[in-house]
Amino acid sequence: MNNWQELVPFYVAGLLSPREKTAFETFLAQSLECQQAVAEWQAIAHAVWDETDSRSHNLPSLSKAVLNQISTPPYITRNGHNTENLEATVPAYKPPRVEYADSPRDDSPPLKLKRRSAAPIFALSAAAAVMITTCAVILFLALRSPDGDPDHGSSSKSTPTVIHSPTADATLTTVPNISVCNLSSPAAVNIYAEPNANSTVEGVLQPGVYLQSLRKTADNWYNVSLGSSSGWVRGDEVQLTGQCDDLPVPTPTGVRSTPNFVPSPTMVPTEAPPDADYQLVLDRFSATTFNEIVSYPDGDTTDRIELELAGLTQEDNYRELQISVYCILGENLDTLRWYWGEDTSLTSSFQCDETGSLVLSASSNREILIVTIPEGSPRSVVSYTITITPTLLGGTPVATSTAASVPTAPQDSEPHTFELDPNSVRQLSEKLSVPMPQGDSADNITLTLTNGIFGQRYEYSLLLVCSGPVPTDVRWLVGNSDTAYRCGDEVSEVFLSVADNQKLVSVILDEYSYANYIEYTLIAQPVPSEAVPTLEGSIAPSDGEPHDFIVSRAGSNRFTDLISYPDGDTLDRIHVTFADMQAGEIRQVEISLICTGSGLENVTWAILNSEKSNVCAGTLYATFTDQNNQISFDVTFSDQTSGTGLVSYTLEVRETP
Amino acid sequence: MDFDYMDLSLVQAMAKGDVRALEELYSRHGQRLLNYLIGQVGGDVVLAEEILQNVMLAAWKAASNFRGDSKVRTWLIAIARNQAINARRKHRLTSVPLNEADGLHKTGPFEQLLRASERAEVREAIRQLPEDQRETLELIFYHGLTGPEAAELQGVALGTIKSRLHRAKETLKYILEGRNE
Repeated sequence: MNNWQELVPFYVAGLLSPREKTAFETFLAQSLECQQAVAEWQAIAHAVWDETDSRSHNLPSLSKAVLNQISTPPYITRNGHNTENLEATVPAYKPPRVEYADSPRDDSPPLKLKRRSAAPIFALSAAAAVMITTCAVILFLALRSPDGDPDHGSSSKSTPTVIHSPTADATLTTVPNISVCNLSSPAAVNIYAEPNANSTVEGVLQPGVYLQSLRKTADNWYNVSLGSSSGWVRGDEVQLTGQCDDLPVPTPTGVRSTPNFVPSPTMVPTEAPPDADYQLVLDRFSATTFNEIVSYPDGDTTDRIELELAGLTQEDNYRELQISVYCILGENLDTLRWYWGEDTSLTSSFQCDETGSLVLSASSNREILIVTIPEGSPRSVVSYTITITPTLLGGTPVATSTAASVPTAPQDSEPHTFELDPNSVRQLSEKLSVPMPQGDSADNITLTLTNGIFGQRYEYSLLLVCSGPVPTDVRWLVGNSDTAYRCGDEVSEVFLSVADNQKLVSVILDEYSYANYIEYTLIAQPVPSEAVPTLEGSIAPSDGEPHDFIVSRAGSNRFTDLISYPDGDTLDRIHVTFADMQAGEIRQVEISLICTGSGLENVTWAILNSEKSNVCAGTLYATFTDQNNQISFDVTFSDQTSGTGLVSYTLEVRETP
Repeated sequence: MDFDYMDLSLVQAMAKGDVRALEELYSRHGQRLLNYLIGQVGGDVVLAEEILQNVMLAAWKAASNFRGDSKVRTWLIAIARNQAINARRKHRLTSVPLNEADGLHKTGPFEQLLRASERAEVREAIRQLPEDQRETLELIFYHGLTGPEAAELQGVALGTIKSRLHRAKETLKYILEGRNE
């Protein structure tokens, strides 16, 4: 059994299938090492149980606020021609995807509920039940068909049908909410399928009921939600209450606004150009990306983006959208705020590089997204990218249903060259897909510095922005480090110089990912370097050799000194010692020499007793062990040096993960 | 009827508007969800209780959309996790995880070490684990999620769950050995 170490924790937790368990126990009986591992994991399992259980506090009752919010199920009657059974919105039971093949299936009928709740819960629930019944009767009577027959057109013969969804709760009430647009009528009014009186009648708005509307047409039709679909009411047949004047008027079908700003590699905007509101039609399987810019106090301070999630069906009737806003370039990026809904209080807003989740459903597939720089902010201009990724509840990736629909990323030649400039933002966009071998599941990208000055070290900050069905399956690595980053991560301290002008970045789509297609953009932004003080004099004073440079996990790990040529201190020998090494420990480090002054091109530095050497702004790699925790360096002017030079250098040691 | 099918029946009853089903689901899972949430928000019981109410409300609202793709308890933990992330963002809570590399390269009979350590010390060591490692241990050993379920919940590959378990063990070893030296 090759993978027994991996199975031990799952065995201890009782999570192996019967077949796996039998095989594991056969091996366990023969292996002392495995028996010890099981004992260790049992000890850990007990400790985890202890720790988690120790948090136990008395479970509070469900709060009144919760019970109140669940107590108003809306009722809508349908006309006879529409016999849609709304109970079908409760999907049939499907077995869990993670299931062992030899587990027995329980096909017994649903449980008759037994009450186990404490008395206070019962009291609250009894009150809630009375309230539900009362509301149900009122709403049912209010919305019944015009002929007064409650069964007419209803999908249910004896009881009204209930729709449960967040929006349905929000859109139909007996009390108007003055912060939205409410429609009501003293007489029964038809609800049509389309905004014209010749279309199918979907239902009837009864007196005493308020329906919320989120949009209208230019010719005075108001859109209302009808559970899993929507309908239209003539504006001249209803009374309007609340905020109805500012409802958005949809653009004609097929017309879609396009962003008027796309970040350009070399452009740092000073002011956001004015724009209209946007409409984004989102796909339920794949992510959508959107770029724009806002600024304050001049220019466009707010972007209003209407989201519409297309294609939801009764069987596939919701998505949890993971919305992230990345701020790419500009000034005072931290002033940007974003939120959804029309809440302008900003108390629940998000900032740059944060992610929020928003659930949309078939009955409520629209929301307004606001991106803004609030009043009173300092002068700001922010170019941002929004990625919206559809997931199932809790961020679960949209599963294999996408298999047939995802495109394939064409295979391309590797590595990709990504030229970086010392002074401007650059970006590179590529595509990945699985399953292999048809697609391209990994890209190697060579960052290459162009136009650099010898001896100077340039720092870049890298950001990877992705869109696609499951962007969480993307990993990317920078240089020699094994640290895997994810989409949306920003990696700073990426250094390039003329001496070391290339660095490899790998972007990988997990091959275990389900059918997946990712479009990504790698953005490289130069980080301004610290101002370098001017060197005084022309000679480095002689000092005692060698120098001791103690490196530790917690230290800044920089050593600075001067050398000069032909007079003064022409050579420094530095013993670098790694402190706090544990027995058996190995530390991989990246060492750079940062220089300033004159004659930089003639400076060399080398690891003693090795072939490893480099020049100013170059990097060397070394390994410290507990047995050999000291490495020595010489920093000097090369033998062929002519002329004069005075150089201040800093030897910087950074551990590589 | 097994536990999972019973849960599913409750969610289906909730989808039909049965408030008692919500209460029953709450009584079956509330305590564990509360324990999970307390861990997610750095021990703030009041905040965890507040989030728990939102979790149950969200479960009520989403009941008709529950498709049975996962177990109900996994679904509830997913909702709780999401609500906790939002709450952490709102309240700006951050965890201070131990450097993962610090846990490596230690040897010794770990089982004896665990036995020798006081229970409170071991629990404290678990609290000090990096957030992803602690959560993974908790999902597997306390909430009984399978590897694929934990992977799906945390949005990572199954291999990552396995490596997090391995690293969690190494990190615990490091913390406890440091205390007993």
